[in-house]
Amino acid sequence: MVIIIILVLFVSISIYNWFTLLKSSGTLERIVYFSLTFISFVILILHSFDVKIPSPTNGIKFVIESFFESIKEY
Amino acid sequence: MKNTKKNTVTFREGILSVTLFAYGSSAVMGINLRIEQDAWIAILAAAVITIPFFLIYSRIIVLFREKNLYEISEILLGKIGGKIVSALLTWYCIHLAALVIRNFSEFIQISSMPETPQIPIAIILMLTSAYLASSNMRSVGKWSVVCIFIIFFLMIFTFAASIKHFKIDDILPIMEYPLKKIVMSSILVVSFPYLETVVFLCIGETLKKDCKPHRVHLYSLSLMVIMFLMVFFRNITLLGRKMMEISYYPSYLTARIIEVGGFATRMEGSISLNFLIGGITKIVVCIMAAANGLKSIFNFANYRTMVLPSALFALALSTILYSNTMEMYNFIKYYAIYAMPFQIVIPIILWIAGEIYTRKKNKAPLN
Repeated sequence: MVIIIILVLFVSISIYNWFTLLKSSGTLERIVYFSLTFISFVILILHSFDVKIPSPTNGIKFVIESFFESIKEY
Repeated sequence: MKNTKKNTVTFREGILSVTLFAYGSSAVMGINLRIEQDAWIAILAAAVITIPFFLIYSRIIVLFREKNLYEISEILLGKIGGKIVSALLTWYCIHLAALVIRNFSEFIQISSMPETPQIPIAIILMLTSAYLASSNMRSVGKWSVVCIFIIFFLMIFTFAASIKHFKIDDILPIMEYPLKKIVMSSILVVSFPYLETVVFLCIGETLKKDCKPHRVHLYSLSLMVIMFLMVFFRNITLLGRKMMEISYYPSYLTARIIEVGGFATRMEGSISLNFLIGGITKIVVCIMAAANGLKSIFNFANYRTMVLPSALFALALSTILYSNTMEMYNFIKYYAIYAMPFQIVIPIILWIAGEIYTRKKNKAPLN
């Protein structure tokens, strides 16, 4: 069900924006638009298939813990 | 963003949108600092610590009127330096939007829809916010004016309705916790939510030219303090110290036990409305700022094309941020350090560079 919701969301948004906002925009604008949209789509689809995607939170925690070890105890 | 009258906010709208933004997710998460009854001291101390930073933010706006932080960084740090700073700030805005989306989807799932997956809830939140973000800042300003009155009404109503249940003993003894712990807790409040208002600098050009930014910041800080103190005192006197400490959503829990004369009961729905209004405002501002950042990095003519991709990216990010609610609350202490470069370091660098730049610029015609 979640996969269908995601598919409907992305297809409808892309079609709507293609005929409105992206109609008059440049190539670079379209590249950035579709790159971000595609990355988001992949993350959401993988997540809905229960594929474990590395979270930025873990990276942030790792970096901070390596500088401020005492933060773990707070 | 085009600098038209349509896209600027007035003094009053500025104050209320900054207040609503800060109220956003901190209302749902609660000011839960693990110092029980001493949290009010941390809220006040945090406000005092925040004042110099708010004055720095205001000074940046005064030095570069009708410019946003991305444009300012390009003027001061050059093209490459400016783009790097813009990319960092854009990431922060998207990440903050994702954090808020996750806070709310988690809250809705725990409080009222335990069987529903979080993605559909997050999609609805994201679409509403993206719609508002793709209009203009004036609409957000007007939305804030209307919504803050709803929030204030509900807050005062729940506060008044719970007065008869207040147990004053719960806020005593004062300063039970060591000063070091109170200071550490106030630093958490500084970073979340007070200094998150740095995001407004990324859409700084939307403040009307005749508005005094320091007044906008200080008035909104005063409003935030009043709101947080009201919420804190209501929650602690009603729930008690231990109960407030262990509950994930103390305001929601408080609303569940408030009843007025036996007929107005189960007011948690109204509290949820309060949370959502604040949350949507926060997500909208973050998405607008992120879209503005992308516009600045890639030199686009308009920020509107980037609203939906930014919102979608924030949505996708929100799904992978945490694996459970405990992890979400645990991240707050890391967030205080993580947000420091965006909230403190970058603005201070730009402020110092801005002062030097302006002085040089003013001296130039004389030479």
